[in-house]
Amino acid sequence: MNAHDQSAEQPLVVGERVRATPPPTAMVIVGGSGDLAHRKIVPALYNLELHRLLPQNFQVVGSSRTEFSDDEYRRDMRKAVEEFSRTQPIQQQVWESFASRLHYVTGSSTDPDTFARVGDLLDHFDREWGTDGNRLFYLSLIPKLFPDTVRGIGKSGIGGRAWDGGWSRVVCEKPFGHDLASARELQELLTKVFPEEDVFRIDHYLGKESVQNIIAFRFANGIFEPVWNHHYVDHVQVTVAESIGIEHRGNFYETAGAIRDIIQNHALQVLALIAMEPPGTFEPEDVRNEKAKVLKALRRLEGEAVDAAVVRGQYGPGWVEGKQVPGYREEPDVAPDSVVETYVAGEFLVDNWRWAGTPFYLRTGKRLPKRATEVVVQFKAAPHLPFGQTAQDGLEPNALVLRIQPDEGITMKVGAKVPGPSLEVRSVNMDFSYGTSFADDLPDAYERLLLDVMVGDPTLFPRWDSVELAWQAVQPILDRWASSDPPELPNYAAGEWGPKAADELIARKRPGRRWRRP
Amino acid sequence: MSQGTALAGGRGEPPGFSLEPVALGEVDQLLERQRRQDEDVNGVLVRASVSNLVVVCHDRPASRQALAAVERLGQRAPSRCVVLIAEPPAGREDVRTWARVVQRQTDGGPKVVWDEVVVQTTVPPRHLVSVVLPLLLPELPVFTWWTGTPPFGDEVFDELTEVSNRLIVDSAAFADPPADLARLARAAAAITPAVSDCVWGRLTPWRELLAAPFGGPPLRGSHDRIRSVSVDAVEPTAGLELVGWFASRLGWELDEVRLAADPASDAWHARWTTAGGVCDTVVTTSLGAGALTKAALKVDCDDGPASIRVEAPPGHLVATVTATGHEPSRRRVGLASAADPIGLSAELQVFGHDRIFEEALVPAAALAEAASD
Repeated sequence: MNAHDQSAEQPLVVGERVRATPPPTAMVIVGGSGDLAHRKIVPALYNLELHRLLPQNFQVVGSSRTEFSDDEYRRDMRKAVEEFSRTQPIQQQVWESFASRLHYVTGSSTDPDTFARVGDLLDHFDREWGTDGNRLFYLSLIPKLFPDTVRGIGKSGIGGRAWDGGWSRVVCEKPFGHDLASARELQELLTKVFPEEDVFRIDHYLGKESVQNIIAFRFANGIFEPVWNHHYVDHVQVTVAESIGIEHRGNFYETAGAIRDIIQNHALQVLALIAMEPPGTFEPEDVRNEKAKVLKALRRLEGEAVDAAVVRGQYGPGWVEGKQVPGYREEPDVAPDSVVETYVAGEFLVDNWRWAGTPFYLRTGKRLPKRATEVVVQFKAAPHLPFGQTAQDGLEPNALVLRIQPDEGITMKVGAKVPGPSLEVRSVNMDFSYGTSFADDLPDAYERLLLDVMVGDPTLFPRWDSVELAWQAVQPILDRWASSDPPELPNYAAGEWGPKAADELIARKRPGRRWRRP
Repeated sequence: MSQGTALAGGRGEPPGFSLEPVALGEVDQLLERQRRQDEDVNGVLVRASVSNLVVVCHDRPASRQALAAVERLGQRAPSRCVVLIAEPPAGREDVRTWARVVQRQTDGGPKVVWDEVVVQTTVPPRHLVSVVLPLLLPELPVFTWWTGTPPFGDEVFDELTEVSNRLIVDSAAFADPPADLARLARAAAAITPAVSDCVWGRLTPWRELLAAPFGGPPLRGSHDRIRSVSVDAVEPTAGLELVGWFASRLGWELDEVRLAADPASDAWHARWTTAGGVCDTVVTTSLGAGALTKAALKVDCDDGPASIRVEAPPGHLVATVTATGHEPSRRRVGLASAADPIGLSAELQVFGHDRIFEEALVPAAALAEAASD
């Protein structure tokens, strides 16, 4: 049953300006004692309950190998919520009410007996707590455990195609696969158990208010559409910069790298939102179709073309935010001769009528000078400037900056006259800041996305074809890197904006192009 | 940030808020000057206005209360705030104006900047709009928050609502809440701008908790078999609006209304014809905090009787659902932000008509009026 079905039955919620709460749901967090459950999932659920957004009939069961009783699990999660909830302090009464709906099953996600016991609990929820047979499986696991876990859910009959008690949905955390081949294998396995429409691949970037504002900005403001194309746009930059390092995730990062961690998912999804055609409606499939068309139109880089269009880097020791930090190779669980990239910059082309010849520059890196995620739409210069050269020294072409985090907002760079007797012009920024105009607390991305799963709205979740197309764009780069010598690494110091080669990359087709400093 | 002789509790009295006196026609220049002065210290100040908020007050004490609410509100919904103290016309038409730029920063949050302008005037009501219009920021929507009881039908009411996109009232502050609620309903049907009642916003969590159980078993589909609704209201209009909401959403027809036998206590008893039979409602009043102290429904489900009960112990709400053959289900959830107890910020985020409220207002007013006949 989707949200519309629920409203049709529920005259008391039809037309409400507040969001309708989801239908009854039993949620299973596989990997329920893990880092993500602590940091994101359970704090998000608590905040949904605090804001009355969970359904009346809602139960959660966490499951993992850690030995916990229900009470021990609740105490552990209480600490997690105290530490990671966006709302503080924790409201004791609300927590107790929420915690009474938290349960725990000890067991490996690869052990069939675990799911048998989870299934018993879910049946109990349906009988006693009216969860209506609706089941949400959140796979909060390392990717290598996905296959056995999904098979286990399928075989046990507690979810997936075999389950006919209500809806049954599965949420997969990124990365979805390690490469194109493994992603396809995972998809094949998943869809044996869950139909594609019940698979929700979570990319928390897409749940951020400021990412959703890209859609609002583009399609609610008619003035930009006429210039949103190769005639007026010189190039687009997508930057996902992090000041932190790998934060004790050396084991993971050594098998991932920046291109798998950020470019294949977050960055290409943002590119798709910037480049997509206006959808006819905001029905999920209309939006996802338009995004998929963009990813399909990405020009595939092959062989030596990769060397020219993509720069990889790795940070060495340096200083970030006034603190001395080690280089990547000195981080725990990282090989001392690792060639894993902590920085990627690439030039991508979208081969369609709207964007022909307009490069999209994507970059991401760790240990950069500051944390910033933004999109820059760099417009072409005015065709003729009637001012003398001296008078326009401070003038740059218009740029539109969509700031995604941390200072969510929009900046428009325009030319303005410098006050005084002479006609001098220079660039100034017009700023719109989300925080100062809409000062309400922004919900966490996980809150929004968990609600969407429960009401069955997949708009903000990448569909399989988008995931596959993104892997198809990235795989040739991975292949080329696997078969060629890396540059000398490390090639940028922690606290710098990446290797010099990235500056050369952006300027190679048009001297003067440069990365915007966030 | 601002200095000088400020808005006073009475003419010449010490300031309640530090606003700088200024001529009406020079307000924007003063605010610009204040922003520039502060830029020297704190860097460029970006005013973030998403709307104009005109607050109509009948006297200075009311204006100070309104400014305190705006102060709390400003950080959530920064607006150009114009507080209009409309005094009875005197022999001399007088307009006195104060203004200031306000900047606030919450812990770790962005710096929020907005403008406040206070106008105290004895200009005749029909000309008050000429005082307000020059002070509005161009193109941004105009919300008019009328504190106390608006003079429904008077010229000043018509004139000021004419230039507003939305009229906001707080029916809990009405002089005669039930009777004025009926007047509000008539006004809402007659005027162009949308109408909001902050009481309605304060009812939102109650309505959510009362509606939620009908979304799943064992109460799914049984909304037409609600047999009784009992509301204990701190704010009488909240109780009437809650019953009005059920009636309008579920298509109930009002059969009869009677008041409590004890004339000293406010209580509205009513019987409604519903799609599944009849429903008896009672709204009683009591002392307390918030809009209601409790609301309870009795419902006939397929398996037998069921009930939903929502209560408001301090700081949160508790919803308890009981149904034949099921364990009682209890849920505790948070209340609205303590930073905005009136609920004004929620009203400032709604731009169009709130049809659910406007439709609920009709039976709520009918209930109030029938009882007063």
